[in-house]
Amino acid sequence: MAQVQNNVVLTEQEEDTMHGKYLVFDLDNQQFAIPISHVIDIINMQPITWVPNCPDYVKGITNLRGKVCPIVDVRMRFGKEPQEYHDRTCIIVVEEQGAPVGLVIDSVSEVITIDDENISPPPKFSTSAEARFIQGVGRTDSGVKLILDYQAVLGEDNVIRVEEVE
Amino acid sequence: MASGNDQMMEMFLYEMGTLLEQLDEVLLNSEKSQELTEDAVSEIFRIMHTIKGSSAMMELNLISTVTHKLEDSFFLIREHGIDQDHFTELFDLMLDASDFLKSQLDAIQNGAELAEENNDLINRAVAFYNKLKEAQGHQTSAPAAPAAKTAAPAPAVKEPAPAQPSAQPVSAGGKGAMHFEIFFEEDCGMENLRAFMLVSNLKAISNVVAYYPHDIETNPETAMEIMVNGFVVTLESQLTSTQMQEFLEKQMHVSSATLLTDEQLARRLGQAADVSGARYEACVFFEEDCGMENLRAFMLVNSLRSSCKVISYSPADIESNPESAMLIGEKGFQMILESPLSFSALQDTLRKGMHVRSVTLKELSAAPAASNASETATASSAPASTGAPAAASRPEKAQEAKHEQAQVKEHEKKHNSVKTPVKQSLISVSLDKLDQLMDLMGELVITESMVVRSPDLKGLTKLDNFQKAERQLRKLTDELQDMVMSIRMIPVSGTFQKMQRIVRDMCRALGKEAELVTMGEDTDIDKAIIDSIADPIMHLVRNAMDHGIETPEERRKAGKPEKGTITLSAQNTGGEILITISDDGRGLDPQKLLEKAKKNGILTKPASEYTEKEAYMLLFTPGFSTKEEVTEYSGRGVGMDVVKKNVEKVGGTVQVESKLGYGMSVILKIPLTLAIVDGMDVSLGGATYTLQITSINESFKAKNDQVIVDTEGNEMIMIRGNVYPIIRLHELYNVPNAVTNIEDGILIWVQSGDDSACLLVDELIGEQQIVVKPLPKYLNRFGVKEYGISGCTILGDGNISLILDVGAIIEKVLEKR
Repeated sequence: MAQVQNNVVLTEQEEDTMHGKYLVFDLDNQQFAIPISHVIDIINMQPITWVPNCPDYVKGITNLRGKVCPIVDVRMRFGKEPQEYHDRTCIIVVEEQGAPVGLVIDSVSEVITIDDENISPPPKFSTSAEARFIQGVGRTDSGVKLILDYQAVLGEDNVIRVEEVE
Repeated sequence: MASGNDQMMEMFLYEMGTLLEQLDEVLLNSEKSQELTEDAVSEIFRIMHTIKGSSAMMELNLISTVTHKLEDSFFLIREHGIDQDHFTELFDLMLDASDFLKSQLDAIQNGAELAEENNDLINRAVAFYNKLKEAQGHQTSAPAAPAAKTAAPAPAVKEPAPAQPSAQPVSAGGKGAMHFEIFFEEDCGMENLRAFMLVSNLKAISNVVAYYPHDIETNPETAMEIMVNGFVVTLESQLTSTQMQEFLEKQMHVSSATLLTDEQLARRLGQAADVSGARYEACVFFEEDCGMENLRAFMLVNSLRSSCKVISYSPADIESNPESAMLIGEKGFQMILESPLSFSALQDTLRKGMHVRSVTLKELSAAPAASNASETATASSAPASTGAPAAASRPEKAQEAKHEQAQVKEHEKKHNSVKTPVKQSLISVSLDKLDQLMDLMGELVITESMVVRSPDLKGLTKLDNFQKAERQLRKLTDELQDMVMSIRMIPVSGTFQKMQRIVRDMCRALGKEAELVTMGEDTDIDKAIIDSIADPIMHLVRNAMDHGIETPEERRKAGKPEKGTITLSAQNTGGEILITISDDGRGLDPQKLLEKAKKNGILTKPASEYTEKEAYMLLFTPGFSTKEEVTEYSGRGVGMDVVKKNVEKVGGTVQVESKLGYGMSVILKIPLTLAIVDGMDVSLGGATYTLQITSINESFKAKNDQVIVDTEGNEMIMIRGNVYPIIRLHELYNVPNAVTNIEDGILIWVQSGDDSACLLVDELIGEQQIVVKPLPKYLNRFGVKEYGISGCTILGDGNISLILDVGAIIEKVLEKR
């Protein structure tokens, strides 16, 4: 009996430990964070098969242990200049509609805890294209981290659609 | 506890489902050919019997009662046959029963209320049974009918059976006496004790007159005999033979109980006596240089003990006396055996013994007394007669040959009369597990290539063993992959078979005549896809029956055969499965379709702008139904739009072709989201693309001067008198670094339906079997599919290759031009 209770406590603790933990990554000299509970995997750059007729930021598809996984370059999604991939370039795999999607970022740095009270909503004025992909701003001892709204990154992009039509 | 029950219920439902499907198939086939073969009758009987048994176990009493009544009828039919006059009634009854059972199954599955009673069906079944019996009553007035036959099913035997003296001889078969031949489960062991227990159980409810073998209690050797030939028991009981049989089959470890007629019994007993009493004298010679003949002989004796009884052998002291080896080497090893095996089988067994060179086998007289005598005679004469073994063996051989022939015949006869039960060697596996297996397989392939192409290996030269192991590994993973793929594929025939039933029922209900012709039933499709297209197919068949096929008079007037034809075909074109449902009915009238659509307000542009094809597709628009009145079978508010939706759900498309007055066909194109196809890998700008082999006509190098350019700059090439457009794939896809000069690349002449074109690619890489995987959903929004990329596949090195859909490419290019 005691053991069963222990187990329950453990899983609760596990969930607790996941909450407030963020994976910090670098992108274009800025530090971003993504809730660790959304991250399925972090992989090194691997061969990507280019798919025709996709926007530039969709790099193609890759083989994630037998699953076909589309790869989105977050830097290009933000409208920034593309950069050559190097050996620190990483792919963060998240789950979108039950299927894995990879996000290419410059490099992964660490996992940190950001308390909810240290997260403030993103600034209303949007000076950069990436503002709409930001969920909030987290303050930590090591500086400010921008919390990435990965669903917005993977969402339909109406603005670009209209431009394409024009 | 609950989960155990659930599991049992699941098994039960699965089993019932399969059995009912089989039942329908047998019934429809029999109805079509208007005859009930013996096999069909036993099959139906078996199905009814199994359902009855397992439903009783699950406490589904109604199902059990219904099947019981039907089983009774089929028991009669099996025994006496059935008149053609009763066919219609029989088939109607059985199909209705099958429907009822299916509805009960559905109810169980959906957790709905089960029917409390179905007196109508039961009454019909009973009435039919009585009718059959009456008809049989006339027939069986012939004196030749054995007593047991008529006596058994007739409940008229009211007088207490035990009134007969129990010492009645077995073969007499008095009134109420039944003979059963009982087989036990193959590996239950100790058959004699099982039989003994069975007899004690039987004694409680009936009067056991006799049984064979008689000495089951005391003689363990009878186990062998019962295992091979079965256990025969004669008993008297107030129960009918069917009830008795049921009782017997419910007993522990009994695999089958068969009622025997007197004649069968006599034959059976005669045969058994022949076989079990058979004694053989065998003389075995071992290979010349095998050595230690005495030990070989000892081992042979030991190995024979499993299949026969070794009564004596000579020399007798093989275990303790090494000198007997010499003796055996010179004179052979003599044995007296008693075996239920036939002459030739025994001979085979002996010959198969280790190091055995030759065997001389001779059957001794069956009577134990005589055999005893001959036993001693041979034992003593063996050393004496060795002086002329050749002379003695010659007449023996002639005798042997004759005997062998006789025995073989006997053996065959036995095989024909006793049907060996077919062992079920199928298991059901959840699809989830297969999915997981697939994923694992994929990981394995990638890991394999990681190991084999590991950078650590670079610079190493002596890798002979490694490479050998690598080849072996590759071979195994390839085989494994094939196996994993094939597990998921099942033929489409099951789904097609169900349609036969629908056509039959609708013919009756609508007063039409139609026949369903199926083609390509053995096309294998992924199980998940079959499940999702079964409903659309059913809907389309119903639609064809209801709206397509005309009444016989109309058809006659139109100069068509009265019997309409609905064709259901499946075809694997490599990239997709084509399922065609076509009829030779009245066809579609685009004008009428448009009028109707206008009335229902579902037109999206002026009617005059609709092409014929677009008009046909109106059928699949929600809110469209071509028939005014709602019939039992179609037009129940569930329109054809559901068909389209369901097909699209698995990534397929629907096409309609029609000719007014001549019929229509609906073509479902279903992609093989998970299937093995033969692919041709080509390279384009450094990346690999895969074309399905079936879509390729040929590939060739072309010279620039062969290319024809039209006024708009479109390139074309002439192949055997026909001109085909050239599609530069690199232009279509904006691939950088690709070959742009036609002379440097290669042209692939591809075909999709009636469309044909030549694709320019860099080069051919090679042919291989590929696993088609769907593109990630995320990419759907970019219209990748319309650009002719239907899926992808993981190559052996873990990279991904895109699969090109020739049809879509041609469509896209023509649209652009």
